[in-house]
Amino acid sequence: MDFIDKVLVDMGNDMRSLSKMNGVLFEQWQDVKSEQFGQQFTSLIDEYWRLFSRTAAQRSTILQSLEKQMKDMAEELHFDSVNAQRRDVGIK
Amino acid sequence: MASNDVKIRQADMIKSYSARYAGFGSAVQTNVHRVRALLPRILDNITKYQNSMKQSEQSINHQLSNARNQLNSLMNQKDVDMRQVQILQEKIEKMSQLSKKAAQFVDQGKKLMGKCRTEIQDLDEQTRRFGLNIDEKITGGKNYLKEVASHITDYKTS
Repeated sequence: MDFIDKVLVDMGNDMRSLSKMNGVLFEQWQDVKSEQFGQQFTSLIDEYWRLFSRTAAQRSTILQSLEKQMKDMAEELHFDSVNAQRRDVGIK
Repeated sequence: MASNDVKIRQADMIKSYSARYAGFGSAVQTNVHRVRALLPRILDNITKYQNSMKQSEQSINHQLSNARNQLNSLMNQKDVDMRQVQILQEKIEKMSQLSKKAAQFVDQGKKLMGKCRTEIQDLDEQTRRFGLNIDEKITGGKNYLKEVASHITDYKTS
């Protein structure tokens, strides 16, 4: 499950490099139309990423917690079951 | 000549950025695919834990049933070994408690699995939409570059 967090980190790096790239590209042209396009383009992509990364990270945390809870419960019950079988030894 | 140099530089820059946008778009789609491919594995794991709990519950109930049968047959014997009776009664008491606990765990597991499915479906949909939105924006960016390039003489957009 922590694999998703790793993918999110990769995606975050890509997003940051895109913002940086746009900054360099649109600044060079120095015309109003490109500047406006560049700003909208970058801010929309940033906004998509901000919303996605925040909720995806929250969901990833919830899923990790649910997975761990299930794992702990399964291990506890398995231990109870095996431990009870061991106590059968004295009964004829 | 100087003007041509500027045009060539602009054209090269546009070409290079267009390729970088394409690369960025492709990286996002790969990562979107990676996230979406991981999600069924989480459900597989959780299903595995739920199945393990069901197996433990079966084993506990089987042991409880065995202990009750053993006690019944013991009580039908002529000379009842009271020590064995006591051990079995304790075992039955313990297994009854464990049986209730197992039923609660399995029920709780069922609820957690439902919650997991919802979270996974939502995350899958959210990731898919993010991929589409970014794809749309990248196409827009590339189109803008093409439009700019179309105003530069001697530059052909691919």
